[in-house]
Amino acid sequence: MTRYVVTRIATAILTTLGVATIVFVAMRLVPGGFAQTILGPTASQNQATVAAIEAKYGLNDPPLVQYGLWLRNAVQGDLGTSFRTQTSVTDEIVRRCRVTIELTVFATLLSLIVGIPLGVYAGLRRNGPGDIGTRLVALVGLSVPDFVLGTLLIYVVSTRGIGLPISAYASPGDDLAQHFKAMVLPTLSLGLAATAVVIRVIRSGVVEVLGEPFVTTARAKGLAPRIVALRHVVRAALIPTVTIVGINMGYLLGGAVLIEELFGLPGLGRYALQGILSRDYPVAQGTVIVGALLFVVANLMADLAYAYLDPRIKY
Amino acid sequence: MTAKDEASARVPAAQGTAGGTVRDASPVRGTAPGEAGLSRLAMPERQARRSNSLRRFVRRSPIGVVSAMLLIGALVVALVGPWLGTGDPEALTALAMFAEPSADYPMGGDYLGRSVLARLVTGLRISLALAVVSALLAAALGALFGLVAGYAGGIVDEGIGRFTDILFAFPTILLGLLVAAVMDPGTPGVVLTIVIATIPVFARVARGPTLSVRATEYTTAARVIGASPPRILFRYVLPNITTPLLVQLAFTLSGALIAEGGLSFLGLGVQPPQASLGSLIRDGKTYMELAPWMMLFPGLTLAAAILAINLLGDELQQFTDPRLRGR
Repeated sequence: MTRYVVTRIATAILTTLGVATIVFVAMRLVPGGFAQTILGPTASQNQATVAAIEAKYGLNDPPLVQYGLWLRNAVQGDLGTSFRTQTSVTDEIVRRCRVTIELTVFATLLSLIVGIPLGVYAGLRRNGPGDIGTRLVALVGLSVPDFVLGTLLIYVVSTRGIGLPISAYASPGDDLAQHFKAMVLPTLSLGLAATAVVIRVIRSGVVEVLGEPFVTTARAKGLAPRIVALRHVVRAALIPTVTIVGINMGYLLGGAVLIEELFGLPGLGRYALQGILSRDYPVAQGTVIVGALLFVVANLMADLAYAYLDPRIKY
Repeated sequence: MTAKDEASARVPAAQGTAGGTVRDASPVRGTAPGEAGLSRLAMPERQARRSNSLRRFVRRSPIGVVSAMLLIGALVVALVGPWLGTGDPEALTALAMFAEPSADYPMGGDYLGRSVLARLVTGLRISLALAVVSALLAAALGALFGLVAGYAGGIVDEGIGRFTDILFAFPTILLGLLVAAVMDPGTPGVVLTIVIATIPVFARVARGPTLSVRATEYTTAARVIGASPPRILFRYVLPNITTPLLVQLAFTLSGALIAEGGLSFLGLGVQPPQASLGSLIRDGKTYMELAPWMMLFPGLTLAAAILAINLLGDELQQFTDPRLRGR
């Protein structure tokens, strides 16, 4: 077990390092480079300024030296300075991460609270009308993209005069009630697809466990069907949920970019998008790395939890 | 095996009769490929089997048939779009500006007075084309990675595994942002994003079955008669792992539609005046209260297309996976 934990953490670190390397290389492939981007078309007339900028960002060093310095800073938590606002990218990311993490946690909670009971219900009533209905709902949920759902929700809420704020985010410190109200629609938009995934995984888990010999044994020894379902089937079928929560994090973090933009939430995704659109490369670089890092960490925790929870796995 | 056996094994292979035993030994699917000569002989039989399994699919899966028909309909609309008589997607008519749906403009007019229906048809065309191209590219590259990793094993397998892990760590939309930063926003970036994001999935789907096919007797036999690794991979292994790849292709298509829609929605995908379903929804969102049809029709079309693909993928999976029968 210790061996597994150590290897798994080591691969996670390697993966993050690989992500950082790919992002670094990608940023060096930007046509024209940083100086051109900052100065715009006038760059060719301002050789002195170009040289000053290249010196400031260390662009004259050999690429490997640049990479080493950049990586050292990144590991120490310094992701550079925004071109546009001249503020620390790390500070801004830390500030905005809260909104994104809150949004993904809410969406995950929604997916579990709604998805687990529905999945168990459908699995226990396999091929019955309730099962078929639930499966259809799950498939529809999986098929409506989060930004389409968000747009539809905004339309319904604004035309029906439902009292939910749409682009009126308030930080929890300023107005807690308004804050939670502003998170309702984003959570719904982002969480539906995740809910559908949970339903499907739990359902097929329950169906699979129902065929296991230990369930037959439990029935044969005369346990009431309810007890068999709750104590034996559901408990075993819940284990894969851990993995799904980890994998869903990837979709949720990507979807958060769209949802934050749509609902005007000041999160990581919106910061990343603004960074890209204004060619603010340190921002783009930092946000993509932190986004991938969050996903890697979520998957790492999911895998470790899985290994801990499933007694059938021995490492 | 002695040198004599090997020689005698090679002769029938060259004549194309060794394929018979190869087919009998196939555990994964009934129709393993024979050698060149035999496959010509076996053609009618194989076609018959194929149409048989199609007939079985039609009988067993009415939902699959309906979604397949929906999908074919969408593809036909996308293919013959310009000749459907829905009008010019870029023609501006002042009177049609924000026009409500009517006989002349069945889905209304947009903010520049263009027909929403005409734009929907061309948008569907571009969205589907991008999704199909990027899904096929990702499938080809990912399957190649998976085949090589599973067949070569050892350090190659390990290396490809780590590399795909890294690609897998990028959430698709974030990857799209990175790509848009490097190459200007546009369709090539969308395709590149989807391909990079999907390669690891196909690599994993292809690797597993490759491992089990590699361990079969007919692969060993092929190796013994001197077939080169590429030949073994493409003639013996690949045909036997197509089923999981096909199912994954269906889900990748819907994922690609979602990703393209999302990136275009953010303004990082298809650029105006071109339209895709995602960019139409982006435009529609701006004028939602004035002209909701601008957003509703493309949104529902995108969701319906994805639903049809997902339904088909589900049905294919149930149909091809014996463990899921009757579930």
